[in-house]
Amino acid sequence: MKNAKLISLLLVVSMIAIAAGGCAPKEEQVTADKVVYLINGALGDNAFYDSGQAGIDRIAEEFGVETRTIECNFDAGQYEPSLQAAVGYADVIFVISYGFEDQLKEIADKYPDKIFVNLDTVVQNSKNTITSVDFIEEESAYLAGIAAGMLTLDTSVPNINPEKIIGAVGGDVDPVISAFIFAYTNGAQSVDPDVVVETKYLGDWEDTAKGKQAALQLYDIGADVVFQIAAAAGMGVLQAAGERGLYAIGVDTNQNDIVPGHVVASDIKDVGLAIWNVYNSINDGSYKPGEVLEYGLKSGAVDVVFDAQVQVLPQAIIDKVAEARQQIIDGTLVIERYVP
Amino acid sequence: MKIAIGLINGMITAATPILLAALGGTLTFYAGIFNIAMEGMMLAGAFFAVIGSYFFNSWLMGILFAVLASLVMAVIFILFSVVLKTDEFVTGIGLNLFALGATTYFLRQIFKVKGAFSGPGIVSVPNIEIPLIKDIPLVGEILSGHNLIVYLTLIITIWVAYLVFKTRFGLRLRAAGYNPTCLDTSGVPADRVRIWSLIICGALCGLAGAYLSLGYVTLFSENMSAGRGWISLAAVILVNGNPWGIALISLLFGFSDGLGLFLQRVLPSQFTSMVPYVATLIALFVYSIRRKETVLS
Repeated sequence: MKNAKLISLLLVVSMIAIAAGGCAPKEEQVTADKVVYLINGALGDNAFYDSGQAGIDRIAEEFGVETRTIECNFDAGQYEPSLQAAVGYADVIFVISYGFEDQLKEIADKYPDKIFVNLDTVVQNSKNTITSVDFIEEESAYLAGIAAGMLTLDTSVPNINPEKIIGAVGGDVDPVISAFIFAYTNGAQSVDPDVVVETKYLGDWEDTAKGKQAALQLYDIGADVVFQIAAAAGMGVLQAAGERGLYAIGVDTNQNDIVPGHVVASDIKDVGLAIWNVYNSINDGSYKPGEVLEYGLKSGAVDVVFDAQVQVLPQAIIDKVAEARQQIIDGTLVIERYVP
Repeated sequence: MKIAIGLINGMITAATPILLAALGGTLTFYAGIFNIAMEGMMLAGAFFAVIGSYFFNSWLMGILFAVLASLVMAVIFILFSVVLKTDEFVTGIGLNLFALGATTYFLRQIFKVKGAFSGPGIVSVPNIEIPLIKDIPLVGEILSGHNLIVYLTLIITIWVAYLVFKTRFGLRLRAAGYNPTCLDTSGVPADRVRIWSLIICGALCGLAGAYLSLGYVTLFSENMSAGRGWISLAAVILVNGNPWGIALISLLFGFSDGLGLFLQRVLPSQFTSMVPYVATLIALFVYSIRRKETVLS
């Protein structure tokens, strides 16, 4: 009973404080020297989230700002408190908001002076203060598709079978993963329209054993290249490729050396570069809230890389991908975007 | 054909860790201990298997470390629930949470990585090709070429079934569960039998963990037991502890897990993810009906 009273008192006080804060005239300029990187998942995936952390580390070093990272570990109960903690501490919040887009909109409406940068999806609040970074993952996935499509046709490469089947393992069905697979399919079929893409969804981003099992099933039905788009669970896909002597394509960071000789390419998504770019624009004053920033091949934030200790991909495939890449950058080849 | 063989092999690999942990769990089940710590024991085993294998460059050391780590967990369980008579359920939850936190912490401190640790330095447990059998078409592909721990599991299943139903220890074990006072008065302390059941359970869960991180994949990722310890608990309760029943349920679960992925060719993945759980419910239903019939007759 006593506690309940105390809590209600605290609530009243904090409500007054918030109201007063809202009314107070804002004279000081918006400073941006405290940055939070708030992610729905956890660091340590050697991929997507870690690449964002690299960008955060870079701005901390270059601009001398204080940074903090809040990991929600896919725990829905953490989303709202983490957002609250982030606005309480930082001026600039880089957020990966899968699963809590609505809470993000609410908080952004409540704190219009804070800079919110949403990464990887487009989130727009009613006051239009959230800036969204939208990666054109279709462009790099299309290139990955070309590489996979050419590789499955090239039976001179060890263990490649004559069947025109390639595979993909996604973490879950969501618009980003669907965009990846859509463009990967288009890329592969641009090489040969008869190439078939078989897909498995894990419903999980962490269970490496399940990732491996899904990849083994794809290899069993005749796929010889599997594209993994499943964060940490995808490590199982790469190990499956090594075990069968077949091939995989990594995602988000350069994973080509994780299983040397079997990860032929990586479709990278440089979240860190995007973070650095946006922060740089905040720093030099060119930042506009509410924009949707499109990062494609041209920006360098998405790309396909082949650098590896052991490269088994024939040079012809690498050259062909480089040619298509140049056409996309020049604008002579337009990649169809995925529409949910 | 290759697909069917893949599904069967997938079933065997997915069933192995569940079966191992459940066999450990069934010994404590017979001894009258409500042991839910298999998940934590398995996770500790998986992590220390990687430690042993990585620092000594030997999978044997990996298995040894896994079993030792899991035994430490078992000893903590014994200390609390058998010696100090605390609630088994609370002790189990505490151990499971402790294992998750401790392995995550050590992963970050020792290997300086978050999430997952993999590297060429980890030596995995070898796969075994059985001579003669491996040359038989079809049968060879299914029976041969599995991980060493898979074959160990088969032997352990037979051993546990024998231990529980055919030995004096097994009789005392069951007595410790049915009527501990009677066992005590006959001159055998029930607590001693319980302690042994937990020690064997610890060793088997350690082996299950080693299979996860050195057998199926060669890496450690945070929370990599991913609920398998809980499924093993369900398997034990579902068949009232019968080791052969547990083996069947584990295989069923392993099969439906792979089947779920396979069915994605025709069904949306949201539905196929339900397959293992629907299969478990159906098994529970069938088992209850059968038991009801035997009770009535």
